[in-house]
Amino acid sequence: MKLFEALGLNWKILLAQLINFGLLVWILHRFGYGPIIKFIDERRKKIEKGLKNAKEVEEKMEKAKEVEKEIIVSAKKEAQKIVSASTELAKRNQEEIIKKAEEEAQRILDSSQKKAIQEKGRIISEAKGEVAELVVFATEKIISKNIDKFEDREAINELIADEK
Amino acid sequence: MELDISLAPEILFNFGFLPVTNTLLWSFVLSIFLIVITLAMRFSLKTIPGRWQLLFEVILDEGMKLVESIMKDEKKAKRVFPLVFTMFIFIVFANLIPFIPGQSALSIHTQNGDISPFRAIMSDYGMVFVLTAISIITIQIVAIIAHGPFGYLGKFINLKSPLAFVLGLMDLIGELSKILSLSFRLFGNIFAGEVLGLVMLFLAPFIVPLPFALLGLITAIIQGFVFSLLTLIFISMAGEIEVKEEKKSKACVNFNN
Repeated sequence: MKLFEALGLNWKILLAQLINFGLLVWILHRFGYGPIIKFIDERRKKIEKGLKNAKEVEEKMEKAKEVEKEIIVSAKKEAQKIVSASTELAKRNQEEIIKKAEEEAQRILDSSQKKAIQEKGRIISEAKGEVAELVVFATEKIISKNIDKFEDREAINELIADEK
Repeated sequence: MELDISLAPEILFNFGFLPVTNTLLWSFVLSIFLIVITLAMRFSLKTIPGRWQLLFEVILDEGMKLVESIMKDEKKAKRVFPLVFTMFIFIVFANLIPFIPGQSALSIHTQNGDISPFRAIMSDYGMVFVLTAISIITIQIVAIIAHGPFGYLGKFINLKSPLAFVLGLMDLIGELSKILSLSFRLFGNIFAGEVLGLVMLFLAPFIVPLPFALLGLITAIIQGFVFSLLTLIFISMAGEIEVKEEKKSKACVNFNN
């Protein structure tokens, strides 16, 4: 007992200390550590989630980039195809058009030649008529008035026809 | 100038039937201080922590990690953490309070002579004893939960063989000696530090006490850490033994087969 006295041990004080410390632990745990650790854990989860999301987004973006590239490549190919196809078509069209034009030209040439020939014929026949008349006229004048016009004319026509 | 050193804390006044010693008073003040700080921290928690919050969080989080690494079980660690961590910060702050200067300059005149209103909390064996008692009782409770009441008793009173009986007795003594070793380690260090500081201040008031104060500062933190860590390890050991025995018996069965 002397030792207890020397150390100042008093059950009332010990009890007070015990209650004090017990309360301290309880209060700190209930209102301090518990909520704070929960808060920290929640934030950790949130950060983890955020990082995960960021990673996912990055992956998605990478994928999107790849898709984009693919699309661009395929679009380029498509464009190339279209261009070459259209070039070919144009070439073909061009040939056709040229052919048509040539045909048309040929046709026009032909018809104009035909016309020219016809005209030539007409002109020649007309000219022949006129020449005959002129000859008749001249002969009339040269020879005399008593010669029958019509007989002469026939004779001349025959002559001209023979010439031909 | 006289140098009075007493093992017992000085009684400042009587609060009803309760004699309030200087250490008891300061342990109350410290408790309130810790509660206020913790609550202030708790209600000013921000998602993006400031410097103080970060410091607080790091201490709390690292403490939690340490407890988890020793308990090897998150659930158990969460249950033990409040006790061990409160012990740690309580002891550390209690040991640091005496380093606030000017305390030994004050004294109160009573019929019992001059009394200093300040005294390191852990230099009162009563306070240390209470902490030790809590620690030891917790250890025993954990052991009883882990082994069952009969297994717990069987650990100390083992009549299977003379050797086992002696070993059981040794366990009992070891358990009892934990009380002494835990409490006197803390009490002795802090009380000795106090006395040493006082003596040094008495012998050579300038410069000479400084290295001792620095040593005391280190002791203050280390002792808080040691006390709580030992408690933690004892609790962890008390809860673990059964698993080890199970493993051993399983190993034996396997060997026999």
